[in-house]
Amino acid sequence: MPRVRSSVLRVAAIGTLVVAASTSGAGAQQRVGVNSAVNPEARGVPPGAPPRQLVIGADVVFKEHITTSRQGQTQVLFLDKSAMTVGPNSDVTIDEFAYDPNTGTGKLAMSAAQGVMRFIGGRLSKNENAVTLTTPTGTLAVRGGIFLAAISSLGTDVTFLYGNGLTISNPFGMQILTRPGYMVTISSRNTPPSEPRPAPPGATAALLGQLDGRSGGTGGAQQTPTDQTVVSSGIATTISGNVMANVLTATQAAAQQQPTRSQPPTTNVSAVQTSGNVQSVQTQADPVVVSAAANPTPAGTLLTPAVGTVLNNGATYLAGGGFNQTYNFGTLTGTANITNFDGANYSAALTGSRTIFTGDLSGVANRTGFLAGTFFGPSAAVTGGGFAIQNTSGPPYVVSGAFAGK
Amino acid sequence: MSAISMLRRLGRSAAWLSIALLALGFYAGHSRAELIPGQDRAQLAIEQDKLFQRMLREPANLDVAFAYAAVSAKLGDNEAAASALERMLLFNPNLPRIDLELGSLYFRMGSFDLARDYFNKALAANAPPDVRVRASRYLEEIAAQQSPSRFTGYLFFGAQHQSDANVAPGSPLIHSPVGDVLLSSQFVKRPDINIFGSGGFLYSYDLGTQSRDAIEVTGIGFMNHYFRTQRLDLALGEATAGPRFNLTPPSDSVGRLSVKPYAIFNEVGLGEAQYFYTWGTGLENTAALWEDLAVRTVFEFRQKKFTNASDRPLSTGLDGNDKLVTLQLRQRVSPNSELLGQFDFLDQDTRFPWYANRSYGLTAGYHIAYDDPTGWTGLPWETTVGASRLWSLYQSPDPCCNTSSDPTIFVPGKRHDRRWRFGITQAVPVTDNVALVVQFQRDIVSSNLSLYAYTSNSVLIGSQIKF
Repeated sequence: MPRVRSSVLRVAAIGTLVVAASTSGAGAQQRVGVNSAVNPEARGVPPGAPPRQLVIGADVVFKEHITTSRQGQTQVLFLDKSAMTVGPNSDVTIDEFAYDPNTGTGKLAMSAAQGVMRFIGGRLSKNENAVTLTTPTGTLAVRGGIFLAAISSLGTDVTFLYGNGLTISNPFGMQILTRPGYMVTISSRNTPPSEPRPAPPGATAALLGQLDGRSGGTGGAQQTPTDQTVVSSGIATTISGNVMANVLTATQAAAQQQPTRSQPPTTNVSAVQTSGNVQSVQTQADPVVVSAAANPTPAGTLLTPAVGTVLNNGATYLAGGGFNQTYNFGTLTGTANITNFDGANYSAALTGSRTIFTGDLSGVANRTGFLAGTFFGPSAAVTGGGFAIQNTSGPPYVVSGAFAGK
Repeated sequence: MSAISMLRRLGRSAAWLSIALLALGFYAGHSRAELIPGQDRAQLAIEQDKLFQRMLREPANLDVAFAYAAVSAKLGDNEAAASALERMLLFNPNLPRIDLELGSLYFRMGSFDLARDYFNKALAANAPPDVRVRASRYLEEIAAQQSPSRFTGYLFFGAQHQSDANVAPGSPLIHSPVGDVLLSSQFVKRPDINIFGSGGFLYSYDLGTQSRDAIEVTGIGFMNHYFRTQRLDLALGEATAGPRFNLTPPSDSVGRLSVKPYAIFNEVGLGEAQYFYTWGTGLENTAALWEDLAVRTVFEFRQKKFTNASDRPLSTGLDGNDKLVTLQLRQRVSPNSELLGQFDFLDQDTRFPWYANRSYGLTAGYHIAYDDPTGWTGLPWETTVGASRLWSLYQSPDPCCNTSSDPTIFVPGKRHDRRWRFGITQAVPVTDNVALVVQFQRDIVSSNLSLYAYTSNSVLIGSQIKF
């Protein structure tokens, strides 16, 4: 049994780590997955064991060092459902693999010296910093995603294809790829990763050409798929067949990738009036409101719009009260009120024309009165006139007064 | 004919059109993505695990690999499906049908460049006609999805009844400087029905940066037409434009950080006459905290210029500027529901000092989407409930009204309004992009100046179309 890293031991010690194991020709080895397809020539070197030709179905073990020839390709299917497709002239080592199938936690660490590879994340990649690939010029850490890496003497080109993000770092800097189709180059270990940029047209297609099989290759399968096999599988019904559903899914996926999901602005139809100060202007056609605003009355002003001389059972004095009036210029009728005048309130039903009005005052028992006035100013905003009141029985009570209003 | 009049005519036509659309909404067909119920999903997950274990033992078994790909795709585990189908190409690289399926999977994932590579590969090979047709269709969709220009929006048409359509006091009596007066009946609370049309759009242009910085142009429009209170017919249009910069979050607990400065212009008509226009500027910040708390802050400065009309000769007294600060929080409480909290501060500076005010508002709301209880369309229904409280403190005594207990002495008072607003909105989708919307709202405004106090209940029904 190889000596596993301390982090793995720690996880195992708390009893949650489950690592599948199997036996290989090199003795008991910790199994991390299988070679799910192999186009020769691809070789593996398990730790402490001699090199071996990789074949489809063979276990891939912890610390295995995988190399491919100029024609070689292989796909490693990890126990957590991750998959790494390794292209020609590549050199990859599985440095660390710890996976708890119950919780989906653990770690997958790989290193690559050269070549082309595509990684498709499985359960481990859903966790932060759980999957890393170290190259000669920097380290990649993917979360929940898919990426392409091309490593050569000129550096490492990394293209992000899908997921939450791909962090590219070395001692001189760090970049995070979050947009599918964007790439970063790390030219050397002594230079920071480049700024993210769109992958040039044809770049990913060229890499796919090195990863998606080769002419004459069977991937090690005895029975290879044909057009008819694919038709018979019915896979198109599940995947490509429902174009509209896929468009909806793609639209949602693209929205998820948006750093900020802007939405069209909305209006609350039931509240739009209040946001426009409509309440403050809706009464502005009322002359009183207009007059009050246009000629504001100073605070503290004595308001005696109805003033009159009172002869009350031998006494004579001046009294004041409020006055208000409504008048409908359509029907030429209205009402007038003299309020709190010498302790009494009077009202009159008005009739008249567009300029003058009259009415009989009432409101106090055994007392009668008369009111007449006219409108002044623009929009008939001011009104004024005179009034008289007297007792019909009892002690003498006579008023002669005037009123004004705006 | 003035522009406002033309807009009003258009508004009326659009509003009447809403009635027809309402009817149309009930009968329109629908298309939607297939959803997998939770129980079926669990079964599929178990089946996927079994197939994976079998695939580990028999990686060359094509039937198992196809079955695994199909189950994974049904589950939405497109990565797992892709890994299985990519293996098929290692077995035989000349399979346009597999290229088509892989392209479709990457298309689903929103990895459009890679999807296009696979579709182009399928077309370059000697693909069967059905594969060519389908791949071409997807390529058209990719072209649309990858276009830097995007335009989204909605239209909303319907009818509304308000118990106090003219936002007026229930009592005609006001304590005016010339004594107690009775307001004319047109200025006293009265119910009315209006037909309305509104809409909003967002146009964004992707600047091509990895952070997806974009130029955003937004617009809203609203028009209504009352059957009785036509002097309060309202028409407004507003546009904003500015760049949105997506920033690198400072920590893992912050995501989707963005800042957007923008310019504002709007035009508002009231009663078939120019009411006011606005120009201004704003600054919006958005962030996602701990993945499920969305934060949005807004600061806006607006300069407003009003125009008088015969029935509102003092409107220019509202000339001035608005300063608005908004803090909005959206907390996801489950995959299909969220809580909303919002604080607003609005400082309105006006030419007439008694219109100047500072308002403070608090809003709380809850939004939930749930399965169609009727089973008619199978599309999720949405319900939103909310309540808000607003305090408006005016800066100077209002000459309109006497607050003195002695009616012969004029003592104007500073207006102080307090508003409660309660609302519930129910959206019933008819198709993927058409929904029937019903909303109830109650506004209760109390004021120390009775002229400004009112209570209004409104109910509206409309049809919303998203595009």
